[in-house]
Order: sequence, then C-alpha cells, then structure tokens
Amino acid sequence: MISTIIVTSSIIFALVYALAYRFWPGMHERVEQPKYSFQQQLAQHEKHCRDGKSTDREHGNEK
Amino acid sequence: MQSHSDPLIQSDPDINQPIVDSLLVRAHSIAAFITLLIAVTFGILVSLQFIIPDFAGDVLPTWGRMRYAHTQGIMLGWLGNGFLGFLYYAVPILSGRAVSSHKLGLILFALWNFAVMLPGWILVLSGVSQPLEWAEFPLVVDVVVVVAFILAAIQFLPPFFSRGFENLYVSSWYIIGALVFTLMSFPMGNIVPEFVPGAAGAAFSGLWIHDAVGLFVTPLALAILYFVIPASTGRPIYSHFLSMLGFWGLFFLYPLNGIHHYISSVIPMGAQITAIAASFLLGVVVIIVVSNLMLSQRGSGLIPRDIALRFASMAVVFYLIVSIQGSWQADMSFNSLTHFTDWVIGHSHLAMLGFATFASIAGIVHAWQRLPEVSYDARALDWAYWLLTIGITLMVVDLSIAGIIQGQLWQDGAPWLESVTASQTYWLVRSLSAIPITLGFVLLFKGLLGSSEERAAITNAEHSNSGVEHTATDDKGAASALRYSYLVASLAGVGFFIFSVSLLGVMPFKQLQEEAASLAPADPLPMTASESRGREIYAREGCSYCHTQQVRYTEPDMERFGAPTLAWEGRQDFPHMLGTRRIGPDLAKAGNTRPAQWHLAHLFSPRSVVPQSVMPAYPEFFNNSPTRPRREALDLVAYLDSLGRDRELAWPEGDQIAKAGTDDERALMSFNAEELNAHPGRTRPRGEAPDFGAASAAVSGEELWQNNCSGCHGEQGRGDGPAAAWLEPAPVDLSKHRYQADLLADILWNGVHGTSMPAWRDLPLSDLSALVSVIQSYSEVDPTSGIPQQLPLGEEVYASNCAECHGDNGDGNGFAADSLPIPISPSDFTREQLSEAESLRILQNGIEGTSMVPWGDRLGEGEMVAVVHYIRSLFGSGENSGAAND
Repeated sequence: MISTIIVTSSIIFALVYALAYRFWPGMHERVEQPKYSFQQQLAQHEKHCRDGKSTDREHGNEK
Repeated sequence: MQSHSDPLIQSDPDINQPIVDSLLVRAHSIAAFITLLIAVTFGILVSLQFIIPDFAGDVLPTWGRMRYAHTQGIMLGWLGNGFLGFLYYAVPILSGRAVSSHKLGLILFALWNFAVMLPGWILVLSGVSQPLEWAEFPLVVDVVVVVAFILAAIQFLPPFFSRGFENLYVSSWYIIGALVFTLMSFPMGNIVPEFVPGAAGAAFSGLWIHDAVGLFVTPLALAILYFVIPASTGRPIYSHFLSMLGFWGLFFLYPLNGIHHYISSVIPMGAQITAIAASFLLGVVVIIVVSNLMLSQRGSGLIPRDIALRFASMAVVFYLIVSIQGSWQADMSFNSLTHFTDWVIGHSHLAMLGFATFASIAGIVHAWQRLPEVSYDARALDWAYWLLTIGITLMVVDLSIAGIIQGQLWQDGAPWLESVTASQTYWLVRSLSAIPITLGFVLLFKGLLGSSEERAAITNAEHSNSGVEHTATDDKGAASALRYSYLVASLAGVGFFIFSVSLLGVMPFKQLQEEAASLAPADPLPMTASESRGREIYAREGCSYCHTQQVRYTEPDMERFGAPTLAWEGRQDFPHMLGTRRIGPDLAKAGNTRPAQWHLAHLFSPRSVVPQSVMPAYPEFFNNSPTRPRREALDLVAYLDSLGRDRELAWPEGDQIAKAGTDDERALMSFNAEELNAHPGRTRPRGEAPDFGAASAAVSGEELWQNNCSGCHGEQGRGDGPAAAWLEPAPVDLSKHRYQADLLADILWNGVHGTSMPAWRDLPLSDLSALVSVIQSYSEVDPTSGIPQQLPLGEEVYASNCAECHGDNGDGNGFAADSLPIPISPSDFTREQLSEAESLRILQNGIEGTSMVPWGDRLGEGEMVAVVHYIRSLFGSGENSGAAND
C-alpha cells in the first residue's frame, strides 16, 4: 500500500513537473536559467583569475 | 551559440565577484589526503589479515578496531575533508557571496580534524567505539560531529539564503540538501540505536547506513560533478530540468532505501517492501541523473583531456554501476544470494572509493588548479587516474565474483569453511588491488603538491545555449509560482526526511515492540554482569563485522542455523548486533553449541582449533595460555554462551503458547521451524546417524582430516594437535583406539556432548564416509581379544565397579550414565576397543575432564589387568556390532 503511494506519487510529481516545464509559459526558461547564471559566474571567476586579480580571501580581499 | 551578451545569462543582476578562501581549500584538501592515506593503510592491514590472519597481530590493534578506523577514516576523514575543501571553493562561486567567516572556517577545520578524526581514531583503536556500520566513532565523538555539521551549515548556507532561492543552480541545491539532511540524519543513525534495542534499532541504523551514502556522500559528490563538468567543458549542463528532477527524486527516495540492508530479517515486511520499491525507483532516477551528466560531457571524448573532468567522468560511470547494483541487490532473490557476502563489500567500495572518491578528487583537483600560487604535477595526476581506475575496477570485480561464489556455497549448504577457503584467492587479489590504489593516491597527493609549476589552463568558457532558444521572459505568473514552489520544495525536503524516518524507523519500531510484547516469554533472564561485559568486548572488537546475529527468513538460513530470529530476541541489545557481513557463521544461537574450553582455545589461537579459520587471535585476553584466561576471555565466552538462550528456554512450550496467539505469517514460520538451533557443530545425544554411503572421490580423506581434525587430534591422529593441550578431556589418540564404523558415524554426526568434539553435519556424507576410513586407518590397536583365563575375574570386577556407568553389557548405558557429574557419555566397549596399555593407563589414572576417576588406588594390579581383558573382549558383542562394521 505505502509502496504503491510512493511509486504513484513519484510518477505524478515527475509528470506534473515535466508538463509544467513543457507547457507553462516561461517555465522552461526559468528552470534552465540557473545553468547559464552558473556559467556566467564561472566565467567571471576565471576571468579574474586569468587577469591576475585576486579573488582570494587569503590575500586581503575579504569583504 | 549564445554569447556573453545573452539576455538569459545577464538576467541575474545579483552576481557578485566570488571570494574563495584558498587557505581553507588547501588545508582541507591536504587533510583529506593525509586522512585518506591513513584510512587506506588501515584498510590494507585489514585485508592482509584475511590472507595472513596473524599478520603483525602482536603489534597492531585488533582487526575489528582497524576496520572501524578504516570506514570512519574514509567517510569522515577523506570524503568529509575533501567535500569541505571543495565547498570553500564552490560556494562563493555558486552563491556569489563569501562563506560566513574565515575564523569559523578555521574552527571548523580544527574541530573536524582534531576533535573528530584524531580522537575518533584514538578512541576506536583503544577500544571505545559503537558497533554500528558507518557510525563506529563513539557517542562523545558523534556529538562533536553534530556540532561540526551545525558549524558547516552556518558557514555555507547563509550565502545561498542571502541570495535567494530563485536561480539556484543544481549544485547549490545538492549542497543545501546535504548539509540540512545530514544534520538531521546523523544524530538519528548514530545516537538513536544506542537507545532502541535489537531489530528496531537496526531499522534506524539501516536508515543511517543509506542516509550516510544517500544524503551526505552522494549529494556532495553530485554537487561536485554538476560543478566540475560544465566548468571544465565550458558549456552549461545538458538540462537543468533533468538535474532538478533527479535532485528531488534522489532526496525523496534515498531515505526510503535504508531497510534494504535488512531484507528477509525480522523487520516488518511492509517496511522491507517499501524499501525494495524505493530502491528500484531510485535506479530509474539515477539513470536520469547519469544520462544528464553524460550528455553534459558530450564532445569531451571518452577520456577527457582535462584531468578533473576525467575523474568526474569516471565518477559518473561508477555512479551508474553502483546504483544499478544497489537496485539489483534489493531484489529479494538476488539479495538472498549476495547479502552478507563480499559482493556487498565490493558494492560499498565502488560507492565510496569509486564514485564518491573520484568525484571528490575531481572537485579538489579542479579547485586546486585554480588556486593562486599553487602548482601541480599533471603527469602524476594522470598516472594517479589510471592507477586508481585499474585498482578500484580490479577490486570491485574481484569482490563481486567472490560474493557470488560465497553466496552460492551458502545456498548449497556447503560446509562454512568452504566459503572461507574458496575466498582466499579473491582476498589475495583484493589485497593486490591495493597496490595500484595506494600508488594512485600517493601520486595524486604528490601531483597536487608537485613542483613542475604547471598551472591550469583556465578555459575561456564558451557558453552554448544547449538548445534553449527562448530568452528570459517577464512572465510574472511563472516567476511567482516558482518562488512559491521553492518554499514548498524546501518544506517538502524536510518532510521527506520525517516521512522516511516515520515510515522506516518509527512504524517498524512500534510494530516490533507490539510483536515482542505479544510473543516474548514472560520472565526473560537478564544478562549477568559477566555476559554484559562480554557483550561490550564483542562490540568493541568488531565481532559483528564478521558474525551476524540474525537468522533470516530464508530457506538456506533456516537449514543452516535453525528457526529465524524473532523480534524479542534482541531486546537486550543496545545497540543491535544484527550485522551485515558473514565471514564466520551467524552467532544468534551460538550459546550451548561449543564448550567453554573450545571457545577459549579458539579465541587464543583460532587456527590451532580450526586450521583454515581466518579469525583474528586474541592472546591479549589470556596469560599466555587458553588454560589461563583473563577476565575478558571468560566474559566474552559467557556472552557467546548466552546467545540464543532466551529462545532456547522458551522452546518448545513457550513457543507453542506464543504460536497459539499469533497469526503473523513470519512469526509462524519461525515457530514451525524444524529445528530451533540447527548449528551443524552442535552436539546431540548419541543415537542414529544416516548411512554415509561411499567415500568422497573428489576430496581425499587425508585432506579432510588435515583441514578439519588435525588441530585437535594431530596430523597423524595421535591426539597431539596444537590445541590438544588446552582441551579437557584431551582429544583422543586414535592410534590407541579402534572403533566400529557405526560408532564413528554416530560421533561424527552427533559429536560428543560435554567435550570439544563437535558434530560435523555440514560436511557432505561422502566426506564423512572418507573420514571414517581415515580414522580407522590410524588405529594401531591389536585386535586380539582378551586372554580367556582373565575373563571371569575381569567380569566380576567389571560388574562391581564399572557396570553402573558403562552398562551390564558394556554398551555405555549403565543406570548412572545419565546422571554423571560431568555429562559425558561413558564409553561403549562393544563398539570401541582400546589398546591394552591405554586401557590400563586410563584405569590407573582416570580421564581428566570426565567422570572416569582413577582406579589405581582401589583395584589391585591383577584386577585391573583382568578387567582390561574383559572390557576388550566386549568389542563386537553388542546388538549393533558386527565384524563388517569394523
């Protein structure tokens, strides 16, 4: 009984999430947005490293 | 392609320049590798003692203590430090905020390494521990771990909270989830079983075993993979949608898996089925996660050039395999084959040394390459990758094969030692696999501290839109719904934990309590002080790592060990001793199975008693001899002898009463078992034995003798084996005895109660037949019967002095035979004949450790000679005797 609830609820959750992702206006972009933001954060960090600007708290850059 | 000017990327205005605390990244990374090398050393020593059981036994801590130190070292020392090091690098980048405090970081570092790892190791190595899998450090250290997790949460969570949950990348979700869930699950798994006994405690323990992997190790390892892969490829992950689907699937299902460590145990079947269903569903979720991670690496090749990405890539492969294994192991039939075997050891090594370790290395290497003023040796890292991949693959494949063989032998009912001897080659290969693994770790450490001055080629990340064609929208409906959903999801996360603990911890606990209350005998015997002390020794030496204390509800278990364990049988076990591995046999019903002397000799020098045993020796419990045991040895034996006693006392009357009051299918299965204690070595009253048939052709009788009997009876059967001097009565010198085959069959099948001679029911009948022939071949007894002139006097002396024990006919069934002070059956002279000299010696001196007293001061020399001739003349005269039998 409980295992049926677990399996069913998992499938329903996945279906609802997938349908919302596909059909809810703007949902697709919102859900995927963090991976691009992360990429930008990485790029900024590595740019600073490449430019020799310290992002290291050890070097007195702590806010 | 989407450029830096992509509105999607620029839509988050709240990205600050991240601040990385490189001192703490380096400190935790170095601590990780130091603790890793120490933990691996413990692992190697433990594995070597499988091949050479006495290896450095006099200088090293005991096997069990090193095993405790190994597992805790890997999980908390290596992975804990590795993850913390990575978090100091990743959290500022992920959140755009610095971690809470540098000083807090220093305190956390000191706490983790000098208040958790160092005292934890010192304590378990000196015998202060708790016998719980993945929770071996004692309670006092557990408290410090909880404090450390609280500090970690304070250190790493605020940067995410201050930024808000919207736009949170999947790695951040995993980090938040791991910190919050571990803070809840660690105390539950480490502390609750100390206060909840037996199987109910095991339910909580099982939850933690899985939570340790599923809510601490896996989320942080996946956080690393989701970080390192896009950072190294320079492209976003394939799908954030799939990653979040995986995240919620894992956090919902992982905690529900715990009970699959106790399938077919006494834990309620409802909880077991829930765990099985969750395990299979989890496999599906893992496939989604792995597919997403693999698709995110597309274009990087099978063996990526970037070393961090290469480790991450292999971690993904290991994750897929170990998760499929996990789901498969939850299948009841496969579980009954592989559970308790080395398959599971291979599985856990694949999880911790394969998946988690490779992920952790990927995180450390990736961060290290980007730290200021840090150099590394790329060639050493490259070598490390290959050595570790080869070593871990070899170990896991080897242990998986070993596990299948062990499980098959157990299911076939083969003698227990056969599974030990069949494992030797695999244990050797496992130890050999430690060579590339250790070299790999050393090279990795060297690579990071290397001086070749190679710096990471920091990629100029090329961002691709990976199929996302829409730009950011201002859809307020979706945005507000998402904000709301994050709140719901956060609450749901905590709800998952409470749900899983209620379902798989609290509910089984209540059911088991009810079952115990209705089925347990009314007045159980409490443990004596000596038994309680023995239990503590059993726990601290890690005996439960090799000996389970649960007879499962499976046919092979019932045939080998007897009635399955009922819920109430562990009611005095704080914490439980159910165990998850069997190198040696189950001990749930060890009581009253072997005499104390056998146990003492076995503890002092296992291989003297059981030549092929791999059990560690405990000479420190003795004053140089098993005949001079210290209190520890006596306490431990007292504890072993108490195992199964309550159930035995309840059998059969108490069990019948309990049986009448239950309709529980599994309880009835236990009550209806053919034998309460089916231990093959347990002695039974002398009686019938099956027809052994023809001798085994596959194994020589001589080999069987050396493997099973020589420890006590000596290589040539002269009663001079290594353990002979420690046993009372001493093992028989077979050169001075002559037995009829049916008596030997009886002795081999039933043992000799009251002596150290066990039954040998786990040997195939054909092997027993071969042993009968070997034993008879050792006899040097002159078969000539007594001198006729001596017989009348001998008969008279016998009737007046010997018949009350040995019987009027000499068949050992005298009227006093059943009430002797030492309950060892008198000899049956109709089927056993001693040499004349040996008979006289025994008559003169008696037999130590039996009720046979010396008769030298009571009978004259002539009387003794006469009675010896009379006794010898009885051979072959009994109802069951016959020349063909000889």
